[in-house]
Amino acid sequence: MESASGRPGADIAQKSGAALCRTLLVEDDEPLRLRFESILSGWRGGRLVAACGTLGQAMAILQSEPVDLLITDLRLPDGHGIQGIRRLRATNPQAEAMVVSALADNEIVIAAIEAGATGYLLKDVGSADLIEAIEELRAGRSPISSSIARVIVRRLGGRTQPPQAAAPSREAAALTPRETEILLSIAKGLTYAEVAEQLGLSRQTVPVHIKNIYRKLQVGNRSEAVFEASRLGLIWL
Amino acid sequence: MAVGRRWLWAVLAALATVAASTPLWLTLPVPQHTLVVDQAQFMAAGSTVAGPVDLPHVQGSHRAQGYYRMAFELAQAPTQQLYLFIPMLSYRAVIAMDGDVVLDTGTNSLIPGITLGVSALVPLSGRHLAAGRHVVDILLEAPGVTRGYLSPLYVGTAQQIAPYHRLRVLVLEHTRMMVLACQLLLAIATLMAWIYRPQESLYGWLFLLHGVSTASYAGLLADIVPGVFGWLPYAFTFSMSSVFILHIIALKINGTAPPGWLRACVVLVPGACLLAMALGAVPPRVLLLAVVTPIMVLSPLVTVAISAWGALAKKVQEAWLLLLPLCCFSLATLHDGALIAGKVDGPVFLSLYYRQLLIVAIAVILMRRLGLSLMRVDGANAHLKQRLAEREAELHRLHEEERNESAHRVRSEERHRLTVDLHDGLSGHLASIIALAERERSAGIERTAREALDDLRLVIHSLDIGDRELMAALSGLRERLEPQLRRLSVPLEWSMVRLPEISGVTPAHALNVLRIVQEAVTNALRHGPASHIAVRGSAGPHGEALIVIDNDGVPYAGPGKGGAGLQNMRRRAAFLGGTLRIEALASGTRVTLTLPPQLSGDPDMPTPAALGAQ
Repeated sequence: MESASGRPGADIAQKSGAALCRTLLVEDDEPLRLRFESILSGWRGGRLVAACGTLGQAMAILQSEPVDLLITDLRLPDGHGIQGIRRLRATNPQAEAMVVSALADNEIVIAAIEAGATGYLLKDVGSADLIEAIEELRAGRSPISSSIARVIVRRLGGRTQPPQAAAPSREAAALTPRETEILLSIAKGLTYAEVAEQLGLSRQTVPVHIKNIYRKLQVGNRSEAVFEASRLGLIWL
Repeated sequence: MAVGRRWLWAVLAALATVAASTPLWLTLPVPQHTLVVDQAQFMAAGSTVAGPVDLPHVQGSHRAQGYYRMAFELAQAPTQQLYLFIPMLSYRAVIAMDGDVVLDTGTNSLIPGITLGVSALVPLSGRHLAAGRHVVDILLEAPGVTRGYLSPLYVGTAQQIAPYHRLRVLVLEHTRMMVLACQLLLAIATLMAWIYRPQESLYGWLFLLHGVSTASYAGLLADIVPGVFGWLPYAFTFSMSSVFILHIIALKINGTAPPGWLRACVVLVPGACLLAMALGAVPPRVLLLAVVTPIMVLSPLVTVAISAWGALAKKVQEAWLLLLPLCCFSLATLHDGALIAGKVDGPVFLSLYYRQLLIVAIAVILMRRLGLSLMRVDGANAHLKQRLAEREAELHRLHEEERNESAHRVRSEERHRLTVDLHDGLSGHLASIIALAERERSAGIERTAREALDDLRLVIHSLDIGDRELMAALSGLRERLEPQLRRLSVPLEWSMVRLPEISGVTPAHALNVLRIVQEAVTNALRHGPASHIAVRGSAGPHGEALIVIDNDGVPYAGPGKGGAGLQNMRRRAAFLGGTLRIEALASGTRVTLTLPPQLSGDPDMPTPAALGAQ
């Protein structure tokens, strides 16, 4: 807050009621970190709190400074980006987290979503696309690819079948029929526009539903230890 | 339909009634145009006074002998052999002609028991055929229960008389034996049924009914056991238990459990009578006439009531089948009762014949039950077969699912391992190279690195594609093309909603389709240079999948210029079993990939050497 108040832009934003988005970047690959840093520093809607190369640095910052948006790589030299996401969600439930992934189409992205991430970025994302993705997320809209939708559909299918086994440990609320329909259509390969047309929605509301789905997938009151034990066995990044 | 069936049943029932009641109203024909002797002098045994009687004549008392003297006149010696024919007598006659004994019916007629009545035919010869007056003397012995009976006598030629005699032999002797044969046959059949199905006590009762009824034929043993006629009252009393058994059977057919006392009656009533006879407490004849006969005559009326109750009140269909024969049987026993009481003339007991009708009805009921059970078994069989088929289909489906699941798991594990390697190493490095090249402003390196990363994604993405997921595979490609084309400000129009679902899709298939589409888009950007690209899926006339890539760049200039890229696309299309068509539009080029609705089996990945570098 104090550091932001020195900037004229921040003052304007504060005065207009919308604070600058305090962003924390965690990426261990230097060229990529520098690239994201330069893109983010050109973003007028946010302020880069720090660009870290390790989880330790990121954790220290999360401890000491308020962060609205965490953009993190998943595989870090001293830990895992998911740990950072969980810390962020624990200290500031309002904050958003995005993961950076080279492929962004597999279980690990879902694991990040379950930890509380609501967006993901490809490592080679263009600058305009990156800013747009952040803005969209801030506006309450999350992206989804058909392969992520398929993984989620598969997971949900597997989860609903033996209810007594998995249900108690999972706090995730059930998806509404509409959300399920959207997920299935996207998993099949339809575009947002086609899904919207089929279900009689506006194209813009599809990603809103997606964000709600992500929020419902977030694993709630599970203890950190259980989470780490069960999840990191699967985690390879 | 149902009304037609009802009428059919009504007609059948009417015909059966007419046929079944025949013995009650039909009298057997007698010879015509022959000499008839219907006057006789009758003298009861022990009496010395003879008096004139008309024939047929019924003797006044039971178990009596009587003498008849008759005469006939022959005007001249006949040219043909003549016969003396007595259509009906009961039960034994010794016939003498002009003082010569010519026939003793006791020697050539089967006497089954108390149900008597035979006919006799005496050939006349020698002096019996001389012109003039001839005297016939008959000593008639009456049975114990009925009274002696003698019909008129007929004298005629073989032609005139033989058919009537044969008819009577058939009805009075042969039919009786047939009845016995049927009874024995059914006794064996029901015994067998009972042995194999002891829980169905109806069979046991039916067997008992048949067995007990056979006692009425005890007289047949006369040739082996000379004194059997003395035992006939006992046999008759023994067979009385059949009327109680009949009650039980009627109740069982109604679906009602017979009461214990009725079962006890089967043994106790005849048993008590037999005991009384054996101990000499009551003379057998008195017992027979005062107890046994009334019970046997009146009891079928009770059975009729039981069956009528079942048919009318309980609506048991089988009870109807029993009711009609029971009515006939009951009428016959009443007739026989009247015969014994002397209210009706004639020596023949009808109940013996009607018992057979009853037995036939019961056989019909059993056959009907058998048929219905078999139909139920068939139905159950069909049901079970269907259930089995359903379960097999279900198992097959589960197996199929399991196989798909495990194939998917294997694929997923493979992909997982590969992705770990590529992600950790290659893709991260490529992303890093892109970032570096961007910073160094080396557009060529950046583009090549981006292409390499995109191609890597294509390969990894296609590994996760299963059967019928071509649309999802294409969607993954769209998600990668969209940001690329946005950077180049080329709008991408994409619609796969109408793409038919095609089967047999493997990751190799998917990768080839994606590479063809990718190549078409790359060509459009590179050689086009297109400002608008449309990718659309649709269905062909025979269910094939069409993927059409349109661009608004330079129209296609024909083969020859395409080079290795187009060659590769065609080869990939051929590998998929499809075709690739490239055509020039008014402004732009159209690439059409046609895929069959079912992709072929399990093709190997085409080798990179065969397909060349992208």
